[in-house]
Amino acid sequence: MNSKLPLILYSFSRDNHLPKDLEKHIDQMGFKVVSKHYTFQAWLDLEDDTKVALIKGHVGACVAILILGIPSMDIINALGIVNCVKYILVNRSQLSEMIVAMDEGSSVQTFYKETHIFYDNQETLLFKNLEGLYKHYMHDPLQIYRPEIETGTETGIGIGTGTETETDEWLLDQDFMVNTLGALGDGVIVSDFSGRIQYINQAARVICTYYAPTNKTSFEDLFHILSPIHHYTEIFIPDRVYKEQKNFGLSRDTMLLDQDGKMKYISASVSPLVVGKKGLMGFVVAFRDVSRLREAEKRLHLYSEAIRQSLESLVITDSEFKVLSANLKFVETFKCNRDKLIGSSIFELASLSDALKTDEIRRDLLEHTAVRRQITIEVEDKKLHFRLMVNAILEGEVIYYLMTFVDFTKQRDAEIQLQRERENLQTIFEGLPLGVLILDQDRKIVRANKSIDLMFDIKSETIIGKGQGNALHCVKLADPHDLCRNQGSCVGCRIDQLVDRALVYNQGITGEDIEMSVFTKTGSVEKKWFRVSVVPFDFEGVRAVMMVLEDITETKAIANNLIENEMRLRLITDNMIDTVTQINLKSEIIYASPSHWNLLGYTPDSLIGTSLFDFIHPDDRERTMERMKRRLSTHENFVTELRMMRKDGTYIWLEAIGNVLVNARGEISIVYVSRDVTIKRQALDEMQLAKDAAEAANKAKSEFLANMSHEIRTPMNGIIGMTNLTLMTELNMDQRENLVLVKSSAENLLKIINSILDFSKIEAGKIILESHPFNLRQTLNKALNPFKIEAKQKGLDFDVEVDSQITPVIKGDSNRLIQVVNNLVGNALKFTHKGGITLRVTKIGVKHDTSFIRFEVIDTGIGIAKEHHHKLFESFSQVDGSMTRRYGGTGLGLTITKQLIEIQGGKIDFTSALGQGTTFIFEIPFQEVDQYVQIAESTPNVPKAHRKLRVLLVEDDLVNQTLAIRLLEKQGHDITLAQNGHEALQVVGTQEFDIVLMDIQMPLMDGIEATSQIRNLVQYKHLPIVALTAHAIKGDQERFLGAGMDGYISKPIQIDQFFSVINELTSEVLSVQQLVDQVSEGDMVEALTLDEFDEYIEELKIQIDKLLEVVKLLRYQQAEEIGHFIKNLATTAGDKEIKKRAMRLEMTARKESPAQLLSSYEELKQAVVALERGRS
Amino acid sequence: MRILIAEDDYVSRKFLFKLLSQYGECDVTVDGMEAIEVFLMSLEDQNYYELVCLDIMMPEVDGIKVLKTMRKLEDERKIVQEKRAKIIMTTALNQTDEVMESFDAGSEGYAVKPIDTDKFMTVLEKLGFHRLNK
Repeated sequence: MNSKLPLILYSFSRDNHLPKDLEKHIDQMGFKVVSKHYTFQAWLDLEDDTKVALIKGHVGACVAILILGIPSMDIINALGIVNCVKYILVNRSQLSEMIVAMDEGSSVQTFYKETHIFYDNQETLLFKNLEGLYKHYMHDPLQIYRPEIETGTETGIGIGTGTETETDEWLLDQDFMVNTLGALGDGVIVSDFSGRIQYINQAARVICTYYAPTNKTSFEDLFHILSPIHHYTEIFIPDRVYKEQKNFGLSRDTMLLDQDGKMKYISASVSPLVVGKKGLMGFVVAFRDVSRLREAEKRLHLYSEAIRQSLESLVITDSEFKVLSANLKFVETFKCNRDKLIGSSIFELASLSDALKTDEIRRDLLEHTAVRRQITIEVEDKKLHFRLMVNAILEGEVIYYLMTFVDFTKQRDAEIQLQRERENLQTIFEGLPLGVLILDQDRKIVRANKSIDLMFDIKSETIIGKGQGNALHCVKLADPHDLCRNQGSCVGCRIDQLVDRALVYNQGITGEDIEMSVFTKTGSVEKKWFRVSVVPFDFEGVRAVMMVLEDITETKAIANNLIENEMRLRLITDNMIDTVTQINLKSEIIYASPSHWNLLGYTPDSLIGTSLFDFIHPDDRERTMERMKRRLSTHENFVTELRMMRKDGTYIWLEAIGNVLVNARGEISIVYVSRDVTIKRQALDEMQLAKDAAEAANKAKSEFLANMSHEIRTPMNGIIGMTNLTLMTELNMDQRENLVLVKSSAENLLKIINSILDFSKIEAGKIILESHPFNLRQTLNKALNPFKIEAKQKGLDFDVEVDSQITPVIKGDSNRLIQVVNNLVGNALKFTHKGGITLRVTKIGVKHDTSFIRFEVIDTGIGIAKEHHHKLFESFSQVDGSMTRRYGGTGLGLTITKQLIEIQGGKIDFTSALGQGTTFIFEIPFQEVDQYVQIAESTPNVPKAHRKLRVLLVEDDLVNQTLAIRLLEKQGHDITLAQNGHEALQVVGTQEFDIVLMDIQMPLMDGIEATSQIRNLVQYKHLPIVALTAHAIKGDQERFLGAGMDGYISKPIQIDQFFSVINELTSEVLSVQQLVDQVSEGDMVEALTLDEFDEYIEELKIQIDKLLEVVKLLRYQQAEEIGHFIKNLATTAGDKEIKKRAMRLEMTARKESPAQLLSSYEELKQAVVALERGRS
Repeated sequence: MRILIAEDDYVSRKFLFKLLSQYGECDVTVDGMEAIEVFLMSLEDQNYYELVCLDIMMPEVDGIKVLKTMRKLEDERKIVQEKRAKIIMTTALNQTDEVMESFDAGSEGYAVKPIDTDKFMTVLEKLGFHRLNK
């Protein structure tokens, strides 16, 4: 190929080794090897002159010399070729370095600096380097070639100027010119403006691939160019030259289309051609093919960019490690200022200063062509890890260093992380409370963790390589001493099956409970339960099995126990007679024992989910529920009795013991154990009934006795009264003595009866305690006077000592107190024959307004023997049966006394010694009454009301309202206020009242009007209405009463009158009024008809006749009866006169006086006769 | 002097009649209603009773009611104080409530059965009644 640049190849390799296909690559690079010289020695052997001649011989014939195996520029310089060739390619040290020199005025040194060093021991790099170099120097071909061309042009002009010939063939005649131009490496075309080519040199022919004669083509056809500036349109050069008439260069990217149709980058300049007198004749185009340079240039640019943008930090330093250049990544990574960086030592860089030691690097570089090491650098508090490579680049004698920092921090961190995780996993594996075995494909243990050791009491390292059965000392169940005979030989070994599954079918199993018998070190065989998981997994790339063992022997044992207990309990509950019922908090039955069927007739299943309370007797529900709730808060057991409904609807009594049960989930339930207690209950009920009956009977008896009081006293009244009367008459001695005995017997009987009645009343609860203020000292004195007399008669002393601290007036039931004192003092008197009796009253304490008063009745009587003390207060008991005969009494005295004291809130006790006397002590609380209250209580202003009244007060005056209300409130009445008659009417319509207090003078409706309107309402005919009036004039009263009022209270209100009027009208007012009405009703009887009157007369006459007979015979009782009959007859007839006389007769009959009876009879008879006469 | 006795028990009636006959002319009634009727009659005739003995426990109309009615009848007729009857209540019950009520309703005395003859006669003395000289 003509276009190839000629190249001379020298090799100085000691072994003459040349890379394979070197020449082929050189060829591809656009060079053509024109001469080869091998071995340095051969070269050295040559004479210098010869060398120079040899090389110079090539000058012009080659553009490049490739020298292989030359270490130093000195040698190249020595060759003396630098100015002779365009390129010198030097391979240094086994193809490791290329140095290019160029001949065009620039020194080798200059070039050397700009050389990029690539190094690699691979031969292929050589070619890469060639490429790189090519690119580098093709970078700006115009710059390289221009001076030559310009020189050429100038030369051309100079030639033109210097040769002033007038021949037509001005150019071609000059051999010199032709020869010169022909020798040029650049193409030269001379053309006139018409495009006729005058001259084409050899180089131009090569570039344009035009080899035909010059006149066979035109300039346009030959020099067919495309310009990128003009969008690759053709430029018409002749026109431009003609127009501009000066030199110009074509743009950088101009391309030429050669005759073969290939596009080539060219560098071209055009000069106008002025020939002597002819002037501007045409133009000269000088150009060269720069395609290869441009390609190389492009590539070089890419490499340079690649370095610049490289993700590795790259820096180039000089031999002193002063930074010459650094790429972007470096600047970024080490956070340094590029300007400052350049020119300073790499070791001075703050972040590197610690990690990099100049000496070490230098030393290493002496020994090795490249240094590699890992360094850790702290940049801005971050630890970064780098692989550093330092390569020396030799440029002649000058050494440069390329330092490459590869950041592997992330990689390193990841590695550390991985390492840690691995360690963690190992820790987990070992620390797991579960035994873990890893079996390989041959079912041999490859790993075992520590838990295995503990679980099986073995050393995990001793079992590696064994089958799991042997390793774990599994004993074949059938024969305890027959150890597991390795994997698979145990028929039906479950673990084996699981391992199989995992290994063969790649199926895992989780948590299967398996029992194993394990041979222990002590020689015994232990049965153990394991929860086994077998999982297939990849262990270091090989299919393996992980077996996880959890020792659940204890859990299993507990579970078994639980099941056993449960079964046992089930057995009990299922077979017991009592029922067991469990309910939740909603009272729903969640368990019912089978015994429900026997006891209640329900199948347990039918009860589940139903409410327990549906079966409980309605009367027992609330109580049971309440008890249940109360106990729920205390969680205590409880016992209750309740009725449950059987399926047949009948109820049975159950005794239920409830237990609150809290399960593990915190759910609360209640378990009842119930037992049929119907029979017991019935017995109890019967007992209760009997008891109630007995009590009722006792009470009835007491009540009967209490009620008998009247009936018993009445005949006693007769006996005693009559005896007394008779004793008042004249009697003989015998009679009197007899009657005195009768009297004393009757009095004794009365005392006994009184005691019994009192006792009965207390028993029947009929004693009603009263509370009223009384003077204690006075009351006592009054009560004790009779005893004082009696004591005096018996010759005994009688002292009463009352504590002066006791307030004179106290509040309580004085009657009951006197009864007690009488009883005790009476007793004391009775049983004391010498010495005396003392009643001592002392105040023993005060609590709030209550004072406790102690009464002591001390006698010097016969005393009570110790053995009788205990029954002293018992009913119907006397110390000695003979006592009754000697001392009388019912034996109820002390019992009654004790009970009377107790119902007053007090207590009684005694001390006694036989023959020395007795002291009874009792204490009763009394309310203290202070002086003020005593006065208040003593004033009669506010009497006690009989009952609480509903009072309607009709009053418009505020003062009177207030006073009336105050007074009424004092009596505790309910008061409703009305301001006038209208309001009163409204209120009366809606409420009931016992009495109305009515003001007379009121606005709207006065009292009299209001009263008559109220009276018009039927239901208020008898409602007492009292006038409140200031009209105190006589005659007013009649007016009020005439208006239907029942009474009046004059204003200003006199308190006594106020209360007495109200009291009078409200206490039984109706019945008394009715009685009054009734006794005077005779007036209102309708007049009898004549017939009736006749009948009445006839009846009277018959009765009079009857009466006569009776009167004659002095039959008083019959006379009374007839009188009564006649009286009734007269009442019916409305005959007042007869009635009066009949009544008189009745009464005289009772007097049993014959004379009076007769006179009464006569009067009655006369009246009848008069009546009869009046008729006729 | 006129005395009215109201007592439903025969023996008690007889006793009172005999006892009080020593003091004056006694009329005897056997129940409350009759007592009221007789009392009214005496008022109408202006032949007043000076002393009335009322048993509290009587059938139909009890003594207290009789007492009140008598007092009302006297009120209605505006009998002057000197002419009004002295009324003594008798009862077999020894209950304070009734005693108080009878006093409130206007009785002058109270005697518990069996009647203590001496005590009763003392009370009569106090009320100004004296045995007739025989």
